[in-house]
Amino acid sequence: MRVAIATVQVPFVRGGAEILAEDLRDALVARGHRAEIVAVPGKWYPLDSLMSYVLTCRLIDLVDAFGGPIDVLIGMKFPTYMIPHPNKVLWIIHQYRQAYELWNHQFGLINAPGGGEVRNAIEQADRQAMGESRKIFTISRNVTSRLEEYLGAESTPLYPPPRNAARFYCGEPEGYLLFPSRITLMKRHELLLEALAKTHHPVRVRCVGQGDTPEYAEEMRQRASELGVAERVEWLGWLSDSDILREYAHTLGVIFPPRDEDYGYVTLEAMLASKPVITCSDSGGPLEFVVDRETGRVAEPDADALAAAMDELWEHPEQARRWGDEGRRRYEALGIGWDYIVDHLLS
Amino acid sequence: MRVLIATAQIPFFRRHTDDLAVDLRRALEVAGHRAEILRVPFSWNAPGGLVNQLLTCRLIDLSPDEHFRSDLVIALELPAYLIRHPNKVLWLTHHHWTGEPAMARRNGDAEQDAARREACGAVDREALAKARRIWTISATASYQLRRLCDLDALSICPPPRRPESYCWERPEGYFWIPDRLGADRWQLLLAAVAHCEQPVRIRLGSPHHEPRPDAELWSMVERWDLEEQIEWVGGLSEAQARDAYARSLAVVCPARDETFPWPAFRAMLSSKALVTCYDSGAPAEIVDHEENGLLVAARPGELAAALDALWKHPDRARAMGGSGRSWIESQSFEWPRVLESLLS
Repeated sequence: MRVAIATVQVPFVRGGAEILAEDLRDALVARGHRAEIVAVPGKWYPLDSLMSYVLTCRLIDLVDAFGGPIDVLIGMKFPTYMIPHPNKVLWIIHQYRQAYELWNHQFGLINAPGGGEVRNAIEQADRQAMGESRKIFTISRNVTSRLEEYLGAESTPLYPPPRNAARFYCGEPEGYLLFPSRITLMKRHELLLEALAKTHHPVRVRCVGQGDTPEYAEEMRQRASELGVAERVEWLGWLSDSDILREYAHTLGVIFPPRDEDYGYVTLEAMLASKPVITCSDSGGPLEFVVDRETGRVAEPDADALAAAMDELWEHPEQARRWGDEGRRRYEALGIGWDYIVDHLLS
Repeated sequence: MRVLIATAQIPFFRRHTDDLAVDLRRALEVAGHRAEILRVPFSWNAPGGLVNQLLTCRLIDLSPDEHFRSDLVIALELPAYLIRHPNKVLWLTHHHWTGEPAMARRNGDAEQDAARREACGAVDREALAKARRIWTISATASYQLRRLCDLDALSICPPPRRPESYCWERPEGYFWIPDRLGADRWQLLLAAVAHCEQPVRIRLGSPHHEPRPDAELWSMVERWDLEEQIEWVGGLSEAQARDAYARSLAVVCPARDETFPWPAFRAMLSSKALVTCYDSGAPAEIVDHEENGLLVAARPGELAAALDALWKHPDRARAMGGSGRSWIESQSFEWPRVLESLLS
C-alpha cells in the first residue's frame, strides 16, 4: 500500500511527534509498504497564522501521488489531520490542547484576543476531521478520554513502542533516581525539587534533558539552590542514546511526575529497563501503565507525598527491584509493538 | 542565520531538486547556519487544479515574529516560493509547470485552461516580484523563466554530489541513460535503437527510478521487440548508480529541457562520452560536439547514427570521455561560493 503520514512541521522544533512519525514510516516500510511523511509547515502563533494553517490543511490534496493513488492517509496531529482523504485513519498524538483541557490554563486560548472564536473554529474543524475519518486511534487512553469528553468522538488507544525498545537493559542500581524529560513547566521539575527538599534519606536525582528555553533550565537550577538540594541534583542535559540507556540501566527507579501527560514514553522505557516508576495521580499517560505498589508508586501531586514515595524506594531497594521486574512483565503482557500497530492502522 | 529551504513534495517521487535541498542544507550547516527543509505537498492531478494549489501554498505563512525566528527562505521551485516570508531568495531548479501545455490538456476545456493559465501566471508573477533575488541552477532553467515570465535571472550551478567518487572502468557493452524519460523521448529512444545497425544495448536507471518501469512504456518495448536490448534498472543505490556510469560505453541524455546539469557532470566525472539532443537542456549546454560527446537532433535516425558510431568505435568514445573529464576538472564547484551568492 501507498501510505502518507500527515504530521506537523514547526521549523527548528523537533520532538516526540516527529520521531513517532518517522518510526511509523519505518515500520510500514519494514512491512513492505511505501510510506512517506507529509509534514505541512505552519506557525501556531499568532492566531491568524494558526487559522491559515488550518485552512491550508483543508485545501491540500493528497488523493493522488505521482504514479498512482495514495491508499491511506494517517493523520497524527492537529491541524494536518484535517487534510481530506477518502481513506483517512487518525492516530492522534494530541489535539490543540489550548482549545480544550488547557482552555483555562495560563497558555489557554481564553487569554487570547478572539480566543473564543478560534476555539469554536478549532472545535468545528476537529469534529469535521473526526467525522470524515474511517477509524480513529490515539496514542493513549488519556487522549481517548479527552476526545470523548470534548468532541463526543470514540477512539481506541494504540500504544507506540519507545524508540530503541530492544536496547533497554537492566543493571545494578548506582544510588540515584532518574528523571528523563525536557525541562519545561508541565513536566514539574519544580515539584520534584520541592519533594527532594523534604525527603528523610539523601535521595539523589539525575535529570536528563534540555530546557525548552535556556532561561527555564537556569530557573530550575536556581530553584534547586534555593531549596538547598543543588548538591543532590545532577543536570545531565542532552545525552546520546547509549548514554541514556546506561542511565536507565543503573537507576534505582525512574521518577516522572508531569502534569497530565499525553503519553509518556518515559514510563515504557522504565518498564523495558525493569525499573519501578514514581508518578503522580494527575500525571495522565503514565497512569495507564504504572500500578501503585506493584510496578511503582502513584503519589498525590504534592511535595510531601512525592518525598515519601522517593524515600520508600530509597529505603527498600529489594522491593524496588521486584516492582521493576513486575513492570517489565507488564510491558511484555501489553504486546506493544509495531506489527500490532500497522495491522490496526491499515486493516 | 536560520534558513528555510522550500521545495515541493510529490509523494513517492524523488527528484534532483529533493537531493539539492539536502545538499544545500548540509552546506548551510557546515557554514554555521541552522537550516531546515520544508516540503509543500503538490499533486499533478489535483481535481481543483493548479490554481488552487498555488493559492493554498500562498496561505502558508512563515514570517518571523516574536515567537518564531526565521531569517531567510531559499525556495527552489513552484509552488514552494509562494510561502509568505519577507526575505525570500529563489534558486529555481526549473520553471515549466504553470506554462506547460500538458497541464492544460490534463484539465480539459481549452478556454477554461487559458483562463487557468492566466490565473496561475498572475499568482506566479506576484510571488516572483516579491522575491528579494532570483537565481536559477542553469542557463536552461533561466531560459524557461524568461520564456514563461519574461524575467531574467543569472544561474548558479549546483555542485555535483561527491564528485571524487566517480571514476572510469572498462566498458561493459551498454549505453547508460540516467534520465527519467517521458513517453515521447521513450519512443525516440526505441525508434533509434530499432534503427541502429549495431547490436547496441541500453540500460536505464537511477536511484530515482521505480523498481519496475511503467507498464504502458514497457509495452512499447515489447511491441518493438527490443527486450533483449533495453534493460531497466530501477531503485539503485547511489553507489550502484556510480558503478553504472563507470562501466558504460557512454552516457546518453535524451530527455527534453533538462534543467539539472548533474547527470551530464556525472558522465564527465566518469570520463564517459555524452550523447544528447539539441533540445535536451543542460547536457546540451555542456557538450562540445565531437570533442567530449555528440549533439544530435531529436530524431531516431540521428540518435541511431550517434549510438552506432560510438558502439563501433569505442576508442573514440574513450577519447571523448577523457576530454569531458579534463573539462570538468577545470571547473570549480564550491558550496561556499554558492552560499556567498545566495546569501548576499
